Amino acid sequence: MADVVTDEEILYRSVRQDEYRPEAGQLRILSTAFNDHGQRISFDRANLRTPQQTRKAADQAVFAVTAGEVRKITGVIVSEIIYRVEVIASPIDRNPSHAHVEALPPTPEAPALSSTGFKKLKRELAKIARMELLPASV
Amino acid sequence: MIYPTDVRPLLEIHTVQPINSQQDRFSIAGNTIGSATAGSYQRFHSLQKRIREFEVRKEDWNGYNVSAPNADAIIKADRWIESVFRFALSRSLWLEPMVSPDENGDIVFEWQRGHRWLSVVVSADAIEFLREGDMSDGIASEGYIDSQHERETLWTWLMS
Repeated sequence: MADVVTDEEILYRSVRQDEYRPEAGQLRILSTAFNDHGQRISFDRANLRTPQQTRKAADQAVFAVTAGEVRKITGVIVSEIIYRVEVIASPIDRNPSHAHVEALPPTPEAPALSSTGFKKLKRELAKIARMELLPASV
Repeated sequence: MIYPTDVRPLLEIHTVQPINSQQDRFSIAGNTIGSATAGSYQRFHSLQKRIREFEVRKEDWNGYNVSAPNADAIIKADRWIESVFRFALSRSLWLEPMVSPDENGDIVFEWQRGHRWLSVVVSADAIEFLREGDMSDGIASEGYIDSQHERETLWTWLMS
């Protein structure tokens, strides 16, 4: 049976310190905090990994989103096509908790996500992500 | 929320005076709160330094299998942001961007001012923008910046 990431699941992402800062009383995250290759944005599933395990370096923070919040994203729009944002379990050898976020065309006929669309996906994730774990060292 | 101690200062909107001005003041969100003309230049040079330092980052610099920053994009971004800063000086209003490379090695600047958000991606051969917020001005929400006029129009929109 396929491993489905439920809406309630929390997802973690390690973020460098120069990609967020407090601004006007809020923590603002750069969209580049979600830089990833292949237009698939990697996360760790919180039910399989701790934030400490997700952190890629001691001076990085860990941000969190829920799968449900991600699936509610409606702002990935390119040429009036609204892309559906999905969270997909994609375990890899060194990380069984691995999942990824990607924006899918609403119909088979619609074009694959453009680079501009991917920028919008990263922007939408930056809007909803919240800090889960401070850097261990600064 | 406790923030790390070394994060950069809060939102800075500087009303920048000429460097030899006796009226050495700046403001945040329109309220004059201190004096710092030389500081504005200093912060800008610090921004340029950060951009140039992207050159030392290698492939996979964020741990997510991304490309190394592109050397030509870094040079272009450095020049481009300086042109924006010079225009901002002429309008006496500067808002420091956040900046980072993206997964392709291009350089990304992002500004947030209230509900207005502007992202500019500088690659070796193009400068692309995305924006959000009040867009009743007829300017596109995304596209390329091909001229000084377009650059200044976007800056004016952000700061208006």
